[in-house]
Amino acid sequence: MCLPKIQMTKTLKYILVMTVLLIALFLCNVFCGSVDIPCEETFNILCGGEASKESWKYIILESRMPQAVTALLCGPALAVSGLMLQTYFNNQLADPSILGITSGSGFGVAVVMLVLGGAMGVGNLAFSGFLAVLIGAVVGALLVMAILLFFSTFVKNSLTLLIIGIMIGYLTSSAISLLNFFATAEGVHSYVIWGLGTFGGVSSSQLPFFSSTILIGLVASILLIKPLNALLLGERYATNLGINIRLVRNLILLTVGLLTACVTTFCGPIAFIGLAVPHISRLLLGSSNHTSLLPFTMLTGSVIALFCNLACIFPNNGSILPLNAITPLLGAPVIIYVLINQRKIQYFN
Amino acid sequence: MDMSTLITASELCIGYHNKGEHLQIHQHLNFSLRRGELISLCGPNGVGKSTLLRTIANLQSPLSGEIEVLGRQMVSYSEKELSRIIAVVLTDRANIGGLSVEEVVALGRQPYTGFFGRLSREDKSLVKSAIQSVGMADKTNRYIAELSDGERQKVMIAKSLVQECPLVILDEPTAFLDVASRIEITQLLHDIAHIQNKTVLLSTHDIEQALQLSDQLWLLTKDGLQTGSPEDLVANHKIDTLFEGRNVVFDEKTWTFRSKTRLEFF
Repeated sequence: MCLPKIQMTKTLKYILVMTVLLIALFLCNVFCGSVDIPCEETFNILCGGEASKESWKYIILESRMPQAVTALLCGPALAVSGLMLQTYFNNQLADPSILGITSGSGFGVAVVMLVLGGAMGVGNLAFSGFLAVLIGAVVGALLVMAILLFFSTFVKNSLTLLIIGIMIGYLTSSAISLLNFFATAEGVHSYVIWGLGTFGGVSSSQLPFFSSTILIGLVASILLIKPLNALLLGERYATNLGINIRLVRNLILLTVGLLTACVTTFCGPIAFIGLAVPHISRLLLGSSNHTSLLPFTMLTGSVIALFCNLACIFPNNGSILPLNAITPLLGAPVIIYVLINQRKIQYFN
Repeated sequence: MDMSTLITASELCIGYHNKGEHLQIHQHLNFSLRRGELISLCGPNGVGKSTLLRTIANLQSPLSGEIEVLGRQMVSYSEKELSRIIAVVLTDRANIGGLSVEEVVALGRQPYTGFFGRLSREDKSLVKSAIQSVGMADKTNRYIAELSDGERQKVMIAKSLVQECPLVILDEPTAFLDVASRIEITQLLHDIAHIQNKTVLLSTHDIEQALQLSDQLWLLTKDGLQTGSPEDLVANHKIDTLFEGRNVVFDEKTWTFRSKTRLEFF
């Protein structure tokens, strides 16, 4: 689709700013942490050189790098999921965690873990193990979306549908709690830790598998840009524009399911990134055209996730804040701003 | 097969599927649409005008009966093929406040563009001239959110024009519009039919204007569909069947409606 010229330069400007921010934050994530490592040492380690302390090398390569890459990928995964749900359900408050998709995949994880007899949390699983966990998570996410879809056929009010999503989220959460009843004390402990959310849950050996799954989802979302634009007009208009609505709907839900499930499995139920980032992106770009909005949402998602990850080490005394304590601080004000200014923000009309 | 016939429906039964039950609204509908005509569909509220239009546009399936499009069964077409034959303008509330006029009209090129919807130079010039033809050239880069209802309707009509379809179906295109916009849009649709030789099928409550401007009039009442030219329908006293049992009468001399009671007073 064509963009007006003024908007084009504005878009380019913001893409440039976000890219610079992205690189800066990524480097911050690698160079800063709860353990003080001199910059030149870090640089040395990244270049493949030897460090004066073996533990520093381990921290950089086995903890900070994977964590930064995980944040880099989780941000766009959640943000794009939120964007696709907002467009598909024609609801500005839709996002994987509000609609209960996150807890659905959490439920899938819990069931598989219980069957496998392990504790919640995938840190020490073999490849086949976490493939099973991931499939469980995807199935859980798709199950919740299937229920939502079923309700959406006769619940036409989008606010009602949202509340149904929230209720499904509560139901699956309580189902997870009930499952926990059968788990070991260690299992319950690791579940609680998982629930706090962290980008540090992916080890460097799991990183290739994690990254490729997320990348598949992100590429799929890019391929959906054209039908997503048609869907802005509503399902009937989209059908009339030659869109096979059933196919597109299934692809959207599958992509959202895969992305959300993958992030939730490894990093826990992360709230607000999926909800707030599409709004931040729309406000900055001043457009709901997915041709520019969707890639920009990915970029912003990375920036926000890297920023949140950095904020987690803020106490600077060796301890780390839970991720889910940071994301609402950033996301909730954005949503409140958007809701209060509903009339002024053009994309609501 | 007559080349001037676009669509033929025979023994069409329209309605909804509801929990396995068929909710029939109309049955035994027979009609055809010819090229280059403006057809107005009139009827009281809730009689099933939108259902009929959506069925013809393949946005919902008929309960039984057949629709032939250019000599082929409608069910044998893919969405993609039909999107180049039938364009629609609906009453559905779209979520496009954050798109520009140009972007929305460009969406109408989706049946022709590639995987990412990138516009060719021809696409762009088509979009430009469509925006011009609906009189929105000075607002090309405006957000939809900034437009009035009438202007939004014009944008959607421009979208249907760039779809380059021989048939354009519009569900109440002039509802909720002020008099000026209503006349502008009706004139625009009239021109689209007669100058661009497209078939325009629209539903409207403005029967008096429909009588003056339409080539064909479709009267949909709970007893079924009656089609014909405005002159024939008036001559055969069919217009009055629209509001049977209501306090309204059609004056065949002036082609206007008036209240029955007032008639008795004078």
